[in-house]
Amino acid sequence: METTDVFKALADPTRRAVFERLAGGPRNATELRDGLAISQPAMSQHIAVLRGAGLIAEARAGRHVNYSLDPKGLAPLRDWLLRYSAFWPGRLENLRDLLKEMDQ
Amino acid sequence: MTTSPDNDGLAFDCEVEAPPEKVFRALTVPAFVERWLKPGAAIEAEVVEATPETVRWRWREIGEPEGFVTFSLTPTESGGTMLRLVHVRTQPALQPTAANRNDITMMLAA
Repeated sequence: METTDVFKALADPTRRAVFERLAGGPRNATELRDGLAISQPAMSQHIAVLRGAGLIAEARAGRHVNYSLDPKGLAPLRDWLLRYSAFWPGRLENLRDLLKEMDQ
Repeated sequence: MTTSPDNDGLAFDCEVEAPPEKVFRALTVPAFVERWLKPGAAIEAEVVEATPETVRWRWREIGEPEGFVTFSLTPTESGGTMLRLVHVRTQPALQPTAANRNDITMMLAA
């Protein structure tokens, strides 16, 4: 799984809305569209992108397909956040030190 | 220093004793940036915007989508600077991803 895919998938406001909706529990495509001004084909596209990024999983239940979050898909995002949460404080300390050494 | 998860990335706030003009130089002069950022082989930072209040870098890292690091510089009453750093991973509205890499004003490491 490429990190890029996750970020691209979540860069779109509609897909973020879908993703957030699924955080509340599994939904089918109709339930996902509820209240969003979006056509069925457009929703299918968004779902395909989210699935492609490994962010959501699907499970068939009779006539319906239920979608749910796939927690594994969030790992790259979490890794990025953790890495830079550790990276910047140290670099900003370096910056502080440098500022003391620099001439006015 | 405080850290906060931003909607699009990470934000850090810290106060430094140096005035904004000096901080500005530390963020835009390649030799200075090199000294405190130590970008290493996997990271490239390039200045894409530089005003007295805002310095913005394009951030490239191997295996990651392009990002931006934006520094906001605000003078404090004591002659120092309130520095806010916001690191976001992508900025879709701004990305033609064209091969205009020769427009670079500053490039760190490779």
